[in-house]
Amino acid sequence: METNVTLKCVPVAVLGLFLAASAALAGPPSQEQLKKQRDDKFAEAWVKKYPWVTDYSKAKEEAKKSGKLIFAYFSRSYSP
Amino acid sequence: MEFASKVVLFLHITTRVDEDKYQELFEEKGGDGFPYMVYLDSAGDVISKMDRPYEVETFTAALEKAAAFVALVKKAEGGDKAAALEVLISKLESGGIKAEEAKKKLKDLPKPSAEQEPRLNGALANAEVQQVLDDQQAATAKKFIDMLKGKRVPTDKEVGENFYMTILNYAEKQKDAANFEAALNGLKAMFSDNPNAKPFFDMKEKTLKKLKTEKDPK
Repeated sequence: METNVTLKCVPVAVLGLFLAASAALAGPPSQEQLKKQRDDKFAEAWVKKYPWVTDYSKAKEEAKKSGKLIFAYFSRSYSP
Repeated sequence: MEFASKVVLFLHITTRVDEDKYQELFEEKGGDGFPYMVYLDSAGDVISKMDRPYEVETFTAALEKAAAFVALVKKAEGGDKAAALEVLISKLESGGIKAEEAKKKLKDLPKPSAEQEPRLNGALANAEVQQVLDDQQAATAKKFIDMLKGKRVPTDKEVGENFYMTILNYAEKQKDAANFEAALNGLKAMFSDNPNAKPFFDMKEKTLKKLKTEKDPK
């Protein structure tokens, strides 16, 4: 039955993603490693080249003041 | 860069660093893979999602689409019923309004054009199906919560994962800190021996903290 498949798969997909990483990862990265990866990402040339706002509240505030839309670019630092 | 002058450039990096704010923003804005690009209005609502592959033409087209939509919303707010109909259809298409609410609003709006009618009917059907699935998921979660309260909990890991994750997801949507915490504790009891589950538990601990703060703001 389709519904059962949906209900069964959705929850598994969330925690399962983390559990399935066991084959590929030696262990979860430390906060220090994650901070270094974050700082490395912010130091990349394409980030420095443009006037990115990195604080969500400030971006909304600026959009309100200027009447412009927000172009939101989502990336991550803990994986390529 | 000409494009940069037309918008507020907002960069969000999901880092999993505990001290970083807005770590759930990617999910909240409908992120489905990295990188992910969308236009937001000043309230933070998603106005237009960019189609992949991401190219300059895509940015421009999406910006024009987003700007046109914002203008349409203003017209609708000013009492233009034709604009209100188009806004309603667009919201239905993006999943921004439920079927029942849309049907109520449609009563006060003009008939759709030949171009709008199939879009409206299709989007309404999508919303109705989603509502049925959401209702079923909510009913399942409520049943599981009753079982959890009665201390009738599964012991099999696969079944247990489904059981607790269903409660966890539902409780998060309902901003129900108590049941969220109970489900999280159940998952921890089952999976805390797996080190790869730690990032997941850390992330959900933050969500729990947020739910508790929202319930009891200091």
